[in-house]
Amino acid sequence: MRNIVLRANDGADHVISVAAASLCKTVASLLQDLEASKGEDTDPLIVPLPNVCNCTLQKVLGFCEQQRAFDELCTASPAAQQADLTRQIQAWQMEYMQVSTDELYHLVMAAHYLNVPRLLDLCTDAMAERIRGKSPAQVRECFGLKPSLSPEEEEEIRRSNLWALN
Amino acid sequence: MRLRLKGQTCTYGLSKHVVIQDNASWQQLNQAIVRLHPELASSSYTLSLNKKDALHASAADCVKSLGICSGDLLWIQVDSASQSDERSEAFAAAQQASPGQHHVPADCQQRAAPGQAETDVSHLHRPGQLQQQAELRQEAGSGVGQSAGLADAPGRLAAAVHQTLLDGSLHHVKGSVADDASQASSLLAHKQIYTLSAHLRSSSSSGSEAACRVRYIAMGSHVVVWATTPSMGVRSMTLAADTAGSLATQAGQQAALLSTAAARRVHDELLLPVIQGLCSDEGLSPPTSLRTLPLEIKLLVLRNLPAQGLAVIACTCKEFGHLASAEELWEDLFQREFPAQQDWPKQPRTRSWRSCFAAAWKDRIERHRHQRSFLRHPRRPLWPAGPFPSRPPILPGINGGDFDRLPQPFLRGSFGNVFGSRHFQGR
Repeated sequence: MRNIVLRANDGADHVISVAAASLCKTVASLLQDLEASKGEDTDPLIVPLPNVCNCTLQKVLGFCEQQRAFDELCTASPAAQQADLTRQIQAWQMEYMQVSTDELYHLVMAAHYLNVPRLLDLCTDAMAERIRGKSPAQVRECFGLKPSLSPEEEEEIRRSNLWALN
Repeated sequence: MRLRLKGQTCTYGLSKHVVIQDNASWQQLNQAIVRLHPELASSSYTLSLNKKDALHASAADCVKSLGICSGDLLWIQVDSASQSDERSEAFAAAQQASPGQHHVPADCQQRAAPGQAETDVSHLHRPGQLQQQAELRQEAGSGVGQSAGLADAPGRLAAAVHQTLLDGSLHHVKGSVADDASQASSLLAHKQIYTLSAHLRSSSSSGSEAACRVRYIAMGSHVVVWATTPSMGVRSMTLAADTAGSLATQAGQQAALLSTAAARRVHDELLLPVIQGLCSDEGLSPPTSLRTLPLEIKLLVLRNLPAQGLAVIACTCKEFGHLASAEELWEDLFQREFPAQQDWPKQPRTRSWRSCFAAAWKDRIERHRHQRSFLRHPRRPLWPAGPFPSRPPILPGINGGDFDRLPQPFLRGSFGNVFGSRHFQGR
């Protein structure tokens, strides 16, 4: 089995299997292109990722490996245990998403860059979850948004959205 | 169906509402609960209606069949370690007896049950967290926790706070922590004040360093953190450690989890605004935030938001105001929220989907309010059923019985002159 080495922007290398790497669509397409042009190769493939930092890459790879393991379990287990398994997956994902907002930004950027659809879904969900149930002032404070509206505009928008604000 | 949740520990002390479908299964209910209380995902818990009799059901059972109906108060009881052991044994026995059936409460039981294809989730903690825990332990051993001689739980919490402050691009420049702590502890035995005179780490020039003081103090079972910056003034927050203390006796892992949760809170609610304020003061490029994310990700986030969240974020700033008023978003939301009213916006549409959604939403709220007021004040019956407080009025033409033998002063004149008539009186 061919190994793939992902190199973070500070030079740290992470080795993952092809199976786990196939969740990253960017890496998977790169791999396909290489195989189409050169044929089978046994050397490890080094992929430099200039805009992903080490700790974020670690976290993303943890997600890939874990999803891989869950997928294998899902196909192996009988139908009766599926509900169980989805419950476990959800619990794991919930724990995985217990990160600070800052980390979440980096994670979502990395997921976008590496094109991991499931992780992207999970991250955007988590972000939406953090916006949900907050007032505009709280959202502005939490996410560092600048109030760029003039007071009249803001009042108008407020009035048009009054149905949702209370 | 709307249920109220309440737990006996102070962590879940406040009641929350969970909304599920009317025909939801037991599993869906549990998922909804875990979504509300993420901390329950890793522990086993039972649900009960009266705080005594725990509800047991298989995953596919309908919630209604358990006697739960809308508006009920569900008690969440978190099992202590011994109870969960007992119950996991019982669970294993139940598993052997009926392998097809699944007992629902808490996945950790299923993890503990032998002879089952499963994943061991205990080792799946993210590596960063493990590293952080190791650092925390080191930190507590060398610097903060030990020298200050703090009690267990607040000490751990304070160590977590310290580590968070160091992680988040602040570094303390003067007054080592241990010195300050020893000075403070000589003055006040129960108070330890740390001062982190923190400067923003700026790669560009060492000259442009913004000063900011972050202090934290352990008071009893609480840790108070406050930050002072020249532009924003003072921001403060309080972290409770009493739950950590009670949990520490049970399992060290949970306490570690709690301290990382506290660290996350400090990071999100205190440190991030402070750093953003400092950056804008100094004219540096702001740290990564929702504003600086690429457009596609912003749109993805907005797509996952419910209508209210979308309306709220439209009020925050100009850019999001534009993004959140996109027609496709509101069309999607309309189709999802009001599937029965597909033909609501008539074909030659003059209104935007957004205003259609707002109108439909208001309409629905109005209807719900009417329904609720109807339930509260049920319509009075048109004719009260007896016993009557006074004699019912006698209608003309249907007289009869004993009433007719008595003189009828009211039935004089125009109504048939039966008894109170002139002829009768004259005799």
